[in-house]
Amino acid sequence: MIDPTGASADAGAHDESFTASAAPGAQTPAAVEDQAAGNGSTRAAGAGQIGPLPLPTPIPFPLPRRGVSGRYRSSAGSFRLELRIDVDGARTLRRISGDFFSVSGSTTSYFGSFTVDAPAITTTNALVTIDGIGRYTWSPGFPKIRVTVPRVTILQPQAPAALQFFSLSGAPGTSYLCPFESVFFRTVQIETDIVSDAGMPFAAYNTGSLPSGGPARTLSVQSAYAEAGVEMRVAGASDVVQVAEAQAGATWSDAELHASMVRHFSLWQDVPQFKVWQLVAKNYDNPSVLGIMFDQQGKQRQGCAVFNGGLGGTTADKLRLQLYAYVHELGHCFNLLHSWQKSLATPPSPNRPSSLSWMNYPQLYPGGSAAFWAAFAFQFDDQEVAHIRHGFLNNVIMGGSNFAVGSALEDTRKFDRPIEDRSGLRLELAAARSFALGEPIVVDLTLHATDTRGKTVHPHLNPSAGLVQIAISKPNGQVVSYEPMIEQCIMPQTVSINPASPIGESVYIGYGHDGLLFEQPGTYQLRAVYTSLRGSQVVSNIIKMRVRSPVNAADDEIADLLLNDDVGALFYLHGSDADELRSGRDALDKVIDKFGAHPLAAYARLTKGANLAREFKMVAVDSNKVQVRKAKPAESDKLLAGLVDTVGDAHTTDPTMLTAAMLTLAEPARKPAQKAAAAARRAASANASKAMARSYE
Amino acid sequence: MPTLHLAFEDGFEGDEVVVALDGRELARAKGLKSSLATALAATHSVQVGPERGELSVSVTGKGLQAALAIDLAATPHLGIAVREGRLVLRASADPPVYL
Repeated sequence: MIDPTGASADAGAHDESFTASAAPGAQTPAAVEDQAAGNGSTRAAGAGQIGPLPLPTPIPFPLPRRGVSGRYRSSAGSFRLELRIDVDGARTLRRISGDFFSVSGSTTSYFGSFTVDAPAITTTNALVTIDGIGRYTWSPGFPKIRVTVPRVTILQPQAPAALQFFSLSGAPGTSYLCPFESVFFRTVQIETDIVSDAGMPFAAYNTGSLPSGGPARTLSVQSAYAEAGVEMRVAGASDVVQVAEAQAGATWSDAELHASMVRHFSLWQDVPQFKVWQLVAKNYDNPSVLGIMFDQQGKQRQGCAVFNGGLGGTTADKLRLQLYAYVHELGHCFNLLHSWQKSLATPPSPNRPSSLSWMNYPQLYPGGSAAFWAAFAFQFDDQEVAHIRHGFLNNVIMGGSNFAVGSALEDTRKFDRPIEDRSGLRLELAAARSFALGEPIVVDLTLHATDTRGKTVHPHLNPSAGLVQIAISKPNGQVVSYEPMIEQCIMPQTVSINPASPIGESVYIGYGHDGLLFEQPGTYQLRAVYTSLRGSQVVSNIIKMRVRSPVNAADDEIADLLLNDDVGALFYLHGSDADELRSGRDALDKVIDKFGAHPLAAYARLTKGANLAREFKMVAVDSNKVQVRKAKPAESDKLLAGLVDTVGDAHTTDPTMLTAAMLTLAEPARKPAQKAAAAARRAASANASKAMARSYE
Repeated sequence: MPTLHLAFEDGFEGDEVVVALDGRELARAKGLKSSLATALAATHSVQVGPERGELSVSVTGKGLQAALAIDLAATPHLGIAVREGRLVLRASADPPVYL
């Protein structure tokens, strides 16, 4: 795969002048830095390239220097980079991010995105240097990033930024020189159309007209987004839409709004583009709805509507509501969810019902609408600004990922340890130190009470119940949340724990809703968060685990067989007779038949054996009748023979114990005392759950 | 006769909800499904005899129930939602905003 961070990128029509690896004329990182700093003239200006910067003219007194934040763009080479630097200026987030576009002939395609969430930033009088490891939408060979930007005075034009990739061991990869493009991180073209009966569209509101939580200023939709770092550029041909398009009743349905968008949005295409349509209409089909992001078919999030029937008016509170509604709906077009519904994103993020954001509902803010407006500073919250500025392109751009998909991926700070923790709880995460490639990844979660008086908690430690989340930092730096294959609707339960009686559970996390998660060799870091009954976020320790590379042909072939979505589903389900998982069963059979003595064959035997030990019900497609496959204890015993000594619990059909058995297979050297303690914790949890279940019966 | 404005908000997934005042069924909404874009499933207004009483709401398929003392003269709007597994009722004087 071509990788814009490293040498493999040079195979294409790379910008040789800025390639610090193998290409002829490649520059060293230092040379690129010098050049970006205006200190050298090691290259001549060419087509699509910029020449050396003029030497600064001496001046008798210090002039203020420009900030370096904004958007930069490389202009030549087989990859073009849009780089966003966010390290100074208004509401800085101290991050950088970028999107790569591959250029082939006269076509340009999106390649991938990266972001550095917490870089080290060094500022001298002459230079800003930004270092960090990015997380990427692909697996880069050179994940470390250094960006240097000269600091220039306010009398000088903004200097270009130089970006250099490095491998984890420090070997230089490709570099890019990116001339400054804009103080805005994104530019969106907006077209606003008005329905013939809707009245006047909103123009501006002075936020000092009524009590609020921020400085008084006059805000329009454009200036509200400018504060978030987005340029909303009015574009397209504004149109008056005849109310007759809404058909009977002159109210608008989602389907009518979408059809109207396709007809009237002069910039519309069913492709991802930073272009958005806002319609000002009078009434939605449901008059309680004052605005809607209706575009949830095809390429989504390209259009929204606001309704003057409920919003219209010229009083201060009406103008305030109009501003809020216009900005809120466009926020959905950027793929932002409501503040209290962030957990519905894919992957989820913690809900933030007390967020003072454009995306909250005033009436749902603690203390109600009056409290919200009194404290609201007319802005997005930090995580939302991070998403808008630095989210991976398809998760932000209109027409990219579907609504709610990827709307919170970059919110990994939920896994940061809280500044203060009075929960009285401690979450412990443990796993084997290394796994073979293809081996089922199982972790142990244990919840301890640190409060000597004991704590009442819920016992649902499996992420499938939605109350524990696990973050996985992959070898390429990408951070993802583990999403269970099946989410369970649980009856809320409580148990009491004290420091001497923790609860625990083993969880298989190798396969989830989005497929396999540990398919690359390398070092992974994991951290979990337990959401308590009172909403506290109890953050675990961080564990490191290594997925080992295959060392021989057998390892390699077994890894190929086990790194299969159907096998992942079978590990998750502890086996299944389902027809759609047949390829997984075939793979497990092949592992057992061909590599029976290999350590990983034990997992195949355990999975098949556990499934055969139980009866299995299926609904026949043709007759709608339930078919029952009887348990096959003899076949099960044959498969599990020899495993009993190893894992102890192999004959059980209890899923919790089966997962624990997988963990023991992964870590046979686990000390007996640890195994006993883990078993005791699991038994305590199981007993507590059973007791609670009985109390509900 | 006072009017109770019901708003079935977020958290519904094809659910049936029954609303009763002092034990008398006022409304039964079936197949409620919340929109992620507006956090609203449906609205419904119903004329009610007494201004005050004990309002009870149940989501039949999920075994969720909640009750609230209500004064329709002061708070004629009732938001009903399922959030984090719990049935949430919120009475208000002003019509809520859905966006």
